[in-house]
Formats: sequence, structure tokens, C-alpha cells
Amino acid sequence: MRRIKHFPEVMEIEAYIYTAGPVGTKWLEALRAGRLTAARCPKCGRLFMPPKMFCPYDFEEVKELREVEPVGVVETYTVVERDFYGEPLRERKVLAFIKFPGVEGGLIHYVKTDNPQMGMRVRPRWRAERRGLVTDIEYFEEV
Amino acid sequence: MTNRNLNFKHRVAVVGAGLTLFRSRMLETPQELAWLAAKQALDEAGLTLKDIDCVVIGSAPDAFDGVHMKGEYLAEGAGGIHKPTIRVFVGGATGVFVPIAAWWHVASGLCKRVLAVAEEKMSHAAKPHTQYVFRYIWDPVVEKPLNPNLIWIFAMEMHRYMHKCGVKKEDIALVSVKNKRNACGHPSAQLCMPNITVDDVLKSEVLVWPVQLLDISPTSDGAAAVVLASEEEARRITDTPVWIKGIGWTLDTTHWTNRDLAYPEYVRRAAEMAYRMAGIDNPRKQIDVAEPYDPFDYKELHHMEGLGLAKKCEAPILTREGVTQRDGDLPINPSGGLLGVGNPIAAAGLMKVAEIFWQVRGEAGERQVKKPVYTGLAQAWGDLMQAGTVIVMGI
Ligand SMILES: [Zn+2]
Repeated sequence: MRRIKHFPEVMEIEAYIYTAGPVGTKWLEALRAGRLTAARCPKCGRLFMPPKMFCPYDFEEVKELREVEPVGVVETYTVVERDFYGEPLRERKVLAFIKFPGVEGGLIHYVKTDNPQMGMRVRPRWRAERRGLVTDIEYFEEV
Repeated sequence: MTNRNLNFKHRVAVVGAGLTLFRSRMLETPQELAWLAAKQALDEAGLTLKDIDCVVIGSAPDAFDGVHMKGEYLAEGAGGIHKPTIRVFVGGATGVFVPIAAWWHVASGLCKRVLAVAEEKMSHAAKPHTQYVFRYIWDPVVEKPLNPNLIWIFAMEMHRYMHKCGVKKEDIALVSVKNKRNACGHPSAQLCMPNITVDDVLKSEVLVWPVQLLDISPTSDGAAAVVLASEEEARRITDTPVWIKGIGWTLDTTHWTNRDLAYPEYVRRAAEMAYRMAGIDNPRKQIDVAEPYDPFDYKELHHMEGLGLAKKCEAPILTREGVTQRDGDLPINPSGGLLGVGNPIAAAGLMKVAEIFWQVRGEAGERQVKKPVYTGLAQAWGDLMQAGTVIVMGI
């Protein structure tokens, strides 16, 4: 029986379909091909992630991606113990912010390790079946 | 400087404008759309990001782009990183509120050069339909349980206006025909229809009587930007600054049941504020070209009356007589408006401001109105159809 006190509602749209942008699309295509890339600004020469069609530093148009050596450095990390509902996870997950030498920005991703360390060097473990998603990298693992 | 009852330190000019394509779905991300427009506005002003002191961003509900904190998210594309940056939001009225907020940044003396950017990516809200976002704007007690749709309300307002003023659908359809034809001169336009007729509008699918498919603007992705500068800076930047002569904005009650549906009081009050500041006492004679908000064809008429560009119930007559055509005595929406150029909400309002900027500069290309333009006006309207924003610009 509904109480007179309130009107219940679920506020959500059923589905969002987000565009990746022209440069973001190329970046995802490279991931699908098993290559890690960064956007390159033609004016200041910076390489940056996440990739976008403009340089956030000087507003120049960006069209080009450069392949990046897929070895990153763990800048910081956390260990996830519980799921969204507060239930303990069967397997703890290490989530890290990974930077790549010479690249502004970086990636947040899982790192498969029992012994996470600041500054540890990691590389992507690619999935065999890739779809052009950041999860084409299943996780990073210690070099 | 004291101007009538408003106090401000600096005169403010628009010195550049930029606009993306308006399309139903753009590949560019919201940040990238904002950058495209911002960059174009800077280029037109001959400035770079370094020259900008402050940034004002406008965007309608976060739920369209599907990114909460959309202002913060857009900041990078709008050039707002490491600068005093703010996002403003008054629903559909946002597009004209962005340059109003940017105006007070400069008029107060706080900033000298301000980038004002508006963006909307309605296509992200994909399923079941973009319109679903509007399910969550209603009063939860008195309206929500009825499952209202935004178009229902417009239909009721349109019908009330038709009834009170004795306006026929044919008269209202003329607005849609004019604007969708005008849009063919606009490089950003989504709905250029060079051969559309009143008959096409009247025969289009009935959505919610009396609203038919061709009475309505489309959903769109897009962005717009303008650069504002203080008098001293503006004169350094360009020989043809376009001065912001008056600004005004007001809110009416959110309960649309408690408003005069046949006459937009919220626009009248906003216009009076702007006119007082601009020294305008006879808008019909003193405004050379206007871009009133036209998400629906009847709203152009409604808003012309609220703006005092026509007497009550007179706008359909002026439209029928051709007065509001590009070569008429009072050109209305020479850009093609929301009905023709498209309706990425906040960006659509700022598009109107950009149009007046280009019209005053004589740079509107094939959209340039025939009569000389000294003073123009742009207006938007939104929230729960209760917010009015008005800007008067001129040489
Ligand atoms: Zn750069």
C-alpha cells in the first residue's frame, strides 16, 4: 500500500550513448589494435592523455596520436576491499593511477599484484578479444 | 558610470563570436564542442587563451550530456583552467544568461576580457528519448504523478494564446516556414528547408494538438561562444566593437498554472530592465533586428509581444504582412532561429547573441538584413517556461 506522504520515482534515463570524439575514436581504435597512444599537440609538442582534439595547455587543434611505450609507473594506488553495496570482495582489487614517461596525464586502471608499490613499473595485459574500450586492457601487471 | 537606475564601472563590448555546426549527433565530445566554438570566437577577436581573464560557461541540465558537474567538466574546452570560471544555468534561458553573467564580470571591473561559452550535447541522453530528461522538472506533488510531458504544456500554452488572440494555425505556421527558410543562409543550420510551405507544417504529424512536428525545433548537439571586453580593451582589439547596451532577466513562478499563458510576463519584465538600461522607450522603432527565442513557432509571436516589438495579439498580423522577414521593417530571427538552425539548448540562445553581433557588424553574409542595423536584441526563455533573459546590443 502506498503511503500518502510521498511520490516515489526513479530518476534515470535508460541509456546514454557517449561519443568518443574524433581523436578519442582513433585512440580507442589503437587500443583495439593492442597499441597504447597519446595525443600530440603540434604547437607545444606535448603528449597527453586522455586524448582530445585540442591541447588543454594552449588550445591548439590536435589531430595526431603517437604510440607510447606501454610501460607505466604507478603514481599512486588504492586497494578495493568491498563492492558498491559494501559487501566484501572475494578478491581484493588494486586500482592505480599510472603515468607514462613523457606523457601528460595518464590512466586509471587495475593492477594485478599482491604487493602494490608506489613507483612500480607496470605494463598492460591485453585481452585477446578487443572491442575498442579502455577495458581492452584487462589489467596492468608488474614489469 | 551611472546609467539610469543601474550602476556599473565599465562599458562592455562583444569582440568575437564562434559557433559549431548544430546537428542531431556530433562525434565531438562536449568539451571538444566547447573548444571549437571558443577557439573560433578567440580567433575572430584575434586573441589567444592567454589573453582571457575569466570564463563563464552555460549549459542546461547535466542530464543531457550525462555528465554531472557539467560546468567543471566543460571548463577545459571552454578555456577555464586556472582561471576564475563559473557555470550559470537558467534552463533554456541560459544561452542569453551566459553573456549577461560575462557582462557583469567586465562591467564590475573584475575582469577585462571574458570568454563566454555555451554547450549542449542532447544526443547523449539516448534512450528512451532525449525528452525524458524533462520528466524530472515537474513539481513532484501536483504534477509528477500525472506523468507530464513538456510538449503537453506547450500545447496548452499555444492553444490558450490562439484562443485569446484569435490566431489560426496557418498564421503560426508562417513562423516555422520563415525560420526554416532563413536557416538556409546559416552555415551551422540543421534544418534548412528552402521549399517548406504552410501546408507542409499543417500536414505534419500531430504530436499534441495543436503542436505538430514542424511547429517544433529539433534536439541538437552544438556549442557557441563570445568574447567580451571592457571599453579600453575592446577599442584595442577591434575597430568594430558591438556594445552591450542593456541586459535584463527575471523569473516567474514555477507553477505554470499560476501564470498568464497568453502573455509572457517574464519576458516583459526582463525586457523592461534591459530597455531602461539601454535608454529604449519605443522598442518597435528602436530595435532594428531581433532574435526572440523560438523553440516552437508560436513562441516567436508570444515573445515578440512580451518584448514590446508587437502589441498584444499583433505579432501574427506583422508576420502575415511580411514585416518580420529578413527584408521587412522588423526582421525577426534572420538566423533561422531554433526552428531552423537547431536547438542545442544553451548554445542555441548564445547563437542568437552571436547572430545579433554579426548583424550589427554587417557580417551576417546572406543572412544580413536589408535595413541598416544600429541596435539588435536577443532573448531566451527557459526553466519551467518561467525564466526570461534579454540582451540589447548595438554600435
Ligand atoms: Zn599544446
